[in-house]
Amino acid sequence: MLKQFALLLKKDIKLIIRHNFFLIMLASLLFYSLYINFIYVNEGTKTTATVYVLYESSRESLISKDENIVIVEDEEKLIKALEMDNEGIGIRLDNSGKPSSVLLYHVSKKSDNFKALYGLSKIIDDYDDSEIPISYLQEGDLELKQRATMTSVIIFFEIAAISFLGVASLFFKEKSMGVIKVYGILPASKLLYILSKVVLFLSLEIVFAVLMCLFNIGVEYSLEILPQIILQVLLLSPIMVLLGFLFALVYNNFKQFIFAYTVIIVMVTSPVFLFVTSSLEWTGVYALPTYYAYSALYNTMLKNPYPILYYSLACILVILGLIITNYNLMKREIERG
Amino acid sequence: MIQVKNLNFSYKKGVPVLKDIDFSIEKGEIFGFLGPNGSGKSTTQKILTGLLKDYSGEVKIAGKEIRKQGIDIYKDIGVLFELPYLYTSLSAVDNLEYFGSFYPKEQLRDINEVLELVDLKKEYRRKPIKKYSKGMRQRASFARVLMSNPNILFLDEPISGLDPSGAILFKNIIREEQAKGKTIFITTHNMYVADELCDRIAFIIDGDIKALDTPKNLKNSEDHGFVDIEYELNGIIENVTLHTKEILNGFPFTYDKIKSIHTKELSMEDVFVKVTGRGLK
Repeated sequence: MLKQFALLLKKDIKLIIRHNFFLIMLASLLFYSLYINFIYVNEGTKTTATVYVLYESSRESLISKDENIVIVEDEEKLIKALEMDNEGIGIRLDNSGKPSSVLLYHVSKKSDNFKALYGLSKIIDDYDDSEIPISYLQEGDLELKQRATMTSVIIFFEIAAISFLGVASLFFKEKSMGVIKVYGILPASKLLYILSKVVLFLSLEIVFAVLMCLFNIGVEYSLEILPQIILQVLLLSPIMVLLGFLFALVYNNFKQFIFAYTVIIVMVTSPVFLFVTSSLEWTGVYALPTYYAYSALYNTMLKNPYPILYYSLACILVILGLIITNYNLMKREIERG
Repeated sequence: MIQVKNLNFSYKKGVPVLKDIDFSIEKGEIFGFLGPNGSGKSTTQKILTGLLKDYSGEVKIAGKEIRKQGIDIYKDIGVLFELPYLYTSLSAVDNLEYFGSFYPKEQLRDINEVLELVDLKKEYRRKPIKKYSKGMRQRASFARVLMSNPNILFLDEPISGLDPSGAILFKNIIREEQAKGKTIFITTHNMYVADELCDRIAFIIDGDIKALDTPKNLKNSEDHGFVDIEYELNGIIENVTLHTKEILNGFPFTYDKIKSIHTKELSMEDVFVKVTGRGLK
């Protein structure tokens, strides 16, 4: 049995090498790491931040028409608002209406200056940007948080999109060559055929996730969370691989499959990132299973607590259900031949 | 080696594909299943190879009910599909090594030996299958079947896609396998293949076996009584086919000289049409 599994796995590795799948993964690893290190951390949040304004001389509540400007009543509320929204900008205005200080979580000097200028320009028409009085809340924390957030987004997207698509393209190749019919008459287990694909993509995703963490959130922080991150990949990757395999079994060709892929990736996966990583609210997101999957990965990445036991049990049940479904669909596919 | 009794099968309820089929195949026999597309040939083969299990009746391979067998039965079975199903990005040698590795080593034939046997050009053996012609792919596919040295071979349209020399080679290989005691089940709509190779042939139409006998008996069973006559008239050679009843009182045509009279032999297709009332296409 182990020998058969090794043979199937070796064949799958050969196929993905011949179809340049490794190159795609390597290129995406490189591209995303460059993006996080050189673009996202410096400029990623510059135009979406909320500005929290405190009038030092007045204790009355004021109302702003601009929805990106929130007037806070006192110092305590200003600090609390920024704690809730780490990417927000706090501005204290003195008696004359001039900014006495800008409060931020530190990311990088360039990003901080840009954010401060952005915040000030929202409330003062022609602010002279030569002196920006920035005060930091907790130095260093936000950059790490930003890096961890974006790394979690990319790892999740890689698993949800690339594994899903990768296993389907591999299976469609085998289907178009007709070799699936040969497996029907080989003294080989069909279950192992499915599992070899799961293990192959799982291994690739683990390597990808580990490298993404090391490259983008640093060795020290990565080493603290890697076991939990690997557990997340162990739970999520088989689900996405088996789902990709299932859709490849259900649909006759790649064109039909791409429709399902679009629905899953664009409509089910992408919105989740926005609602988990920001303070935006939309109750509909709770109906998406991807919300819980991404939340688990995100919370692991940020060392936030979450119900891992229930989540793990749910994932294991889904994996078992998908294996049984795929096994039966594969038998049907061979019979149809 | 193979026993089939009261075999019934339907993909949809109330639409039978196979209707009470009975036949048996002896060890070392070449058995042909001749029928047009959609007659139930492929379904029968799928049941015999254990791919379809929801049948009623009895299907035994080497004395054991096929649906109760595990995957080990496939060590004894080799299936040649109508189309050459191989990994096109891998070479013939890689494909054979890969598929062969699922069988016990002691059962396997040497890869070069089988590739030599099917006459696959040496310079192509390590090239990807996608660079092969249709005939070369079929040769590589047959090599895959032969390599595992199975006791029972299921061959679906075995000479399809081959040039005449390839067809002769394949027929010779099939006879050699028979000589080694292998049991061979051929599904085809090519009457020449069935006539030439098979010890016995079953005609299948609409899931029902209409006739089952040796090719010779099938042809002799139909007393058609036609003769081919070659004659000369005004220096020109003419041919005509007539029923024997028409020449009882002399030839009903003008001629200078009768050159030859032969009993007209029925082809397997003629017999098939007479027995089933349908053509093979």
